[in-house]
Amino acid sequence: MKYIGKKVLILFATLLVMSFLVFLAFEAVKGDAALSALGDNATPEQIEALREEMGLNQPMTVRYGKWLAGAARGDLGMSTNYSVSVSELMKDKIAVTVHLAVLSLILILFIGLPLGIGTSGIWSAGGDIAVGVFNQIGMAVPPFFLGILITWIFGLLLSWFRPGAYVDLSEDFGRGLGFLVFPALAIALPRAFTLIKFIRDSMAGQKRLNYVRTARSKGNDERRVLYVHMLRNALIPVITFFAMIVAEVFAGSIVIEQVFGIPGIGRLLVVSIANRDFPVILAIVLYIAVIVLTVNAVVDILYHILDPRVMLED
Amino acid sequence: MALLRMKDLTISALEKQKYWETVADNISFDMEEGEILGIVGESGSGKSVTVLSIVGLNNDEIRVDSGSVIFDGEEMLDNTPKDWLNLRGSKISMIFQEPMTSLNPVIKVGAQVEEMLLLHEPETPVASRRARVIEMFDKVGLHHPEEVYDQYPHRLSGGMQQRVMIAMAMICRPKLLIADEPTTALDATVQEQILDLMRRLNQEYGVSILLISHDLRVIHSICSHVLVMKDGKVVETGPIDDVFYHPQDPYTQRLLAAIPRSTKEDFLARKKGLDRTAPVQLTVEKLKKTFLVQGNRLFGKKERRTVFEDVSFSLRKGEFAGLLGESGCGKSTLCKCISGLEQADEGEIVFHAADQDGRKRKISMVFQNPYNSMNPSKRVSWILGEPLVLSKVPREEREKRVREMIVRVGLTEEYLDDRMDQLSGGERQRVAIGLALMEEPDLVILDEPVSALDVTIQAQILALLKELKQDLGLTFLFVSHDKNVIYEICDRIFQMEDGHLHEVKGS
Repeated sequence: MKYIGKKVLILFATLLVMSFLVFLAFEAVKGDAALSALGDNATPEQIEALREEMGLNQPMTVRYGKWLAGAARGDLGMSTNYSVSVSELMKDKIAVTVHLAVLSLILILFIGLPLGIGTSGIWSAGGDIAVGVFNQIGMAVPPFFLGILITWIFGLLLSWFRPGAYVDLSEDFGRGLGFLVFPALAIALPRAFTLIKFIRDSMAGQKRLNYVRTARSKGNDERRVLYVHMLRNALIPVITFFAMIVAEVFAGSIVIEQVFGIPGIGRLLVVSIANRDFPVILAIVLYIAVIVLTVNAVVDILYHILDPRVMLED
Repeated sequence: MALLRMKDLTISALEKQKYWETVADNISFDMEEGEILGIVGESGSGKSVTVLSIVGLNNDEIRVDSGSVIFDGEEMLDNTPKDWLNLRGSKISMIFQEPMTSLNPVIKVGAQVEEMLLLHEPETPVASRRARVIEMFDKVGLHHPEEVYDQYPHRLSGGMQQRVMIAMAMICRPKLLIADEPTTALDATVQEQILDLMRRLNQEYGVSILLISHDLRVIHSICSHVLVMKDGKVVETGPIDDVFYHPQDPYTQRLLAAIPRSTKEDFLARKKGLDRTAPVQLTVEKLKKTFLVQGNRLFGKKERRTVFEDVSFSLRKGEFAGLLGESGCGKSTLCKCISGLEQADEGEIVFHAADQDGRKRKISMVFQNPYNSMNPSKRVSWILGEPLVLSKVPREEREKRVREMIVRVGLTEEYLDDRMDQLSGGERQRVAIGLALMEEPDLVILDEPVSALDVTIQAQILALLKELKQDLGLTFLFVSHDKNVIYEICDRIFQMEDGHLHEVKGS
């Protein structure tokens, strides 16, 4: 319990430092919300007036203090672009990205785990090369290209879904899922193949260890050596890698959301940066930080459960 | 009819993935039922591949060229994979050198032993399997067997781990137990206990034991016959006492001569002649060190455990001191505190010469395993020159000193261009010693510098250390668990026991 308390403390400290850093970074960025709201034709006086109105002329420390005070009450401010509160705006977008992320992760696990484990028994040189080449192709295809490819094949040629016509899961679960599965596939495939390679490498690293020799000397057949003895040991390092994937996927894929026209966090980030919608950008950065830190804490605990030698640090 | 008859067995190994080289050449021996047979040889002598071929456990890079292995009336070399599965664990079982890495780290030890029953006696009712395992644990001398059953390997000491391995090997009552260096990684007292246990199991169950070791003393203590192997050939064989006391082959003679046999009396005699006028180099005052240890449960409480306390001693310049103690007694932690790698909780460490001049303390260390303690991809000249680069010694001076040092540690200048991974274990350890001496250190800490080496190499390194001790007048702290080695070389001896340090003195 002390462990979780400590992690929560670290989380808040990180959010504090990160929010400050984002404020600092935006000091250096040219242009602001007033400028992008009024466009190129506005006079300097008009822009100045709007700045004054939005409070953009106050010193950074004052603005940061105000934001902090609001954040402590759960108020993350107003989006300068959409004129709704940031929390309201984020809520919908996060839901979309989370749906996509969960679906992607399920696909990654269902493709990556069985293939990774199943092919790690193939240790002949020829089998190794075959699996390797297949794998490299899977890993090397960039997601945006895969996204376009999937849109073309399943959307245009087979008409299994209508490109760009996003349906929210809460509106129509079946149709929503029928649409979401394709972008999820585009996100999942390269990562699933990387996962396969990772599992295979980890398994290969185990096979020369002494305990594997012991397992054989006990009269275990190769299947049992692989599944009963090596698998759990081999999965330990894979967890770290999978955690990276989880964090990445939950942060929202800018490219895939763009290609498939999905109103998620990734797209919101792009639009917000273009419009200098500072409160929204800040909220997204903090959202990603929360995801990464939470995933890391879960990984620590998983490590401890899977590997009795690992102690929880605090 | 012999239980095991090996006839003209010749084995090759694939070298550098290119060519096959003979690693065991025409090996023949007979082993009777109930016999304990020893095979002795240094690393690379082919003893392990020979023995692993009996159970078909050699990897793909080893192949049997010719010969025959008859076990219990059957030709082993004709075995199908299925034959092997039925044989391993039930009729022939094995224990290995490093019990820690030989057990599966993520499975409870009880379950690992129980797996044997699952594999070879599936008719045993599940309910009584646990009882069988616990009974076996008791037989091999594990106290509180019920508690041990639910432990993971890393929670047990090396000796307990090896007992678990033996319980696992013996639970299905095999006819033959192959023990590959079963005591090499263990402390002296534990080593004796494990050998005793093996002898007892041999008498109680009549199991034949094939014991492999590089140490003739180990073989001598429990075997009736012995094979001496060198470079893949059997150079001498016979009843153990004949070989041990009247070795015929020159190699066996060398092997025996290399065993350090110094006794406490030899050490005390040397200690008497010690010069006690040199200035004090190092004083350690009331040192204490504790560690945080994680409790048993996931979010369990941690406790502080004392490694050692009230440790005080001083060394004079030029003294060669030994630090004796079993693994886990805290001798390595003490060394880390002295060298500054770890901070002691209480107490004081004074290096008089360095502290008076206000300069940095120069403490160098030589570690146990020369294979993983130095960067394998660097050349010898780079390794030896590095400390001089760090202290900005000009290039010419540096090269001169590196050339002097390589000769000093008994190698030649030609070695300077070799990469570390091209050197043998003994050569690497010489480089490690040279590296430790490069900058005239205030203290050289030698942490088990010879325990990973073959006996003959060990003797050579000890001879080198004796020479250096005489010539250089440096202060050494030699850490070892091997009494004989410490008696052989040290002028003063400190023993670490139960977290306390005391000096070994004449009565």
